[in-house]
Amino acid sequence: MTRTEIKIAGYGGQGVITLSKMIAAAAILHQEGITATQTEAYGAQARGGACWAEVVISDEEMIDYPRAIVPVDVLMVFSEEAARNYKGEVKKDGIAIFDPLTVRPRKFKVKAKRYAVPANQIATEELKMPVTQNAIMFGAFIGITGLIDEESGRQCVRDFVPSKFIDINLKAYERGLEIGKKLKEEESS
Amino acid sequence: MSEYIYEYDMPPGRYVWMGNTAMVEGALAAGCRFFAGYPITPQNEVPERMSQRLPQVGGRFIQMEDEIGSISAVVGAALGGLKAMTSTSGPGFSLMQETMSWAAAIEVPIVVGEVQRTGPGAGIVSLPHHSDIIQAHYGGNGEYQVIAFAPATSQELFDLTIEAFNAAETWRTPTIIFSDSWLGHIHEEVKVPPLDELKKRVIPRKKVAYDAEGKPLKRQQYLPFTMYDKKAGEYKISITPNITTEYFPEWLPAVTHTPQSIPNEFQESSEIMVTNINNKILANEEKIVKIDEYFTDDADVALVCYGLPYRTALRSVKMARADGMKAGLFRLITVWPFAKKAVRELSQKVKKILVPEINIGQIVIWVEAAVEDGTEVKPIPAISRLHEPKELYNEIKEALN
Repeated sequence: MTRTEIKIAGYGGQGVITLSKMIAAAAILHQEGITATQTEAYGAQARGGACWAEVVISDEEMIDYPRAIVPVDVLMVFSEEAARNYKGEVKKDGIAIFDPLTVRPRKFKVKAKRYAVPANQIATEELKMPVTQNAIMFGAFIGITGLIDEESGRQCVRDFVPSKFIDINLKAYERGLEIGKKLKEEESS
Repeated sequence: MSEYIYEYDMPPGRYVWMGNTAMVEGALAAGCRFFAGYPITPQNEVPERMSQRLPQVGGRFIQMEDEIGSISAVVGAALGGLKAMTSTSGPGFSLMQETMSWAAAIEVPIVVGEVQRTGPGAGIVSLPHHSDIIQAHYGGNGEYQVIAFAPATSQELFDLTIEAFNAAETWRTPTIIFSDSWLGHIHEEVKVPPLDELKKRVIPRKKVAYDAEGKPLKRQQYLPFTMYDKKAGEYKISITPNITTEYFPEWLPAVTHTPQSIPNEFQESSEIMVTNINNKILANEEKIVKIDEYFTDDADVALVCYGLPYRTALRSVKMARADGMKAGLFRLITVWPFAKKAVRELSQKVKKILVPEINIGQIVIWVEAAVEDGTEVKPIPAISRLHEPKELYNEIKEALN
């Protein structure tokens, strides 16, 4: 009976909800033996408003309590407001992932292990397509946490994006995966 | 008996569906082929998906001018021979009450999805609040019974919506599916079984009524409404009158009527009709009610819940058990009719009952009325939010001290 509690927060339009749905779909549809529950801030928030989503991944037949239990195992923040609001809600031995372009490292002091993933920078400068930052973050999440198999993640990306953009998003996913795994290695060496 | 089984076109397999989507797919799998509704948050994904999906399965979708029009259209469609539903939330549900009472009086099987939001008034559209539990039962004028299911997962919104259609079909009374803004928007795994398996679970709408020997009934032998069979000691619920068949009565009176569909103003008729439409449900409590129990056999304290709080309670009870506390969980899968007998039996086993609800305490009153042996009953209200597992764990701990 193992549960992993994940919280993702930022502004609407940054891909918070999409990322949470990708993690949930990868766990439910593409990987045997685990399931997931995704919940999200639901209301009048549109682009620009504060926004959050939660995912619980578990190997149980049915996930009982559907919300992420605080302190969470994995916290991903994409705005300084989110970093400020949720920095106290991650476990000491948990994982905190952020994008240094939207959250200044000194503004995000947590006891958990921190991983800076420059997804926005890579998406704009290397891949010349800002929306791919989601696939980069998704890859980095898998590289860092190891919660989902790399191949399951790949299948999920194929499922999620319009057919025209599969190649570029898969490229972004691989870049994210690479960064995530590298950050993980650096930390253990 | 296969005269009315629809094909369902969703390939079997695993899906990630939000609660509102799962409710729609469950309805379509149950053979629902008509939906009339009016937009209101947080149920909008239900009519949205219905408007896409119904034409694909040969059904009809109408957006009506309001909730009164919506439920009236659903009653009409049901009398036209279709399995039909509507869905709404809080304020819209209030508008539907008069017609729910009418549907109960003329024993029309209709299904209403109630994706509850915070009240009173317009409330908060995005927060969950199980504020309409009592309204569902007592909202309309006159005395009648409803059947209400309280799913807690996307999978259950699929499975129990099928059950809700079956219950409406069997007992011919308004049937409600309680959801809420949280459950309606949760994204979870839903397994859709193969079609032949689904078909076995669906009670079809029947066009022809049969006698005990299996011979089709003639027009003169058919009773449109429920009658008490004194000899057999049970309520005879015939098939729903269908306007396309010869069984349909000359008129279908909303006023008090006899089982033969003759309106009149005799006290005796009222007594018979009111007794029949209520007792066909109440006398069959054990056949209709669905409950589930976890660790109650040796429990000293039990949590009684329905809907999402059941999931929180399950976690809390597991935590308490891990710490050696004798806690149990009793879940109402159907809220109405209330599981009086089962709750009474529970109260004979445990010393204390805790009732966590996402409201100020609506079902707890029914629990208090059902318990025996001086079992202590305590409400644990949460307004417009889910209880936290730790919160219920602490309540269990305190109850056992």
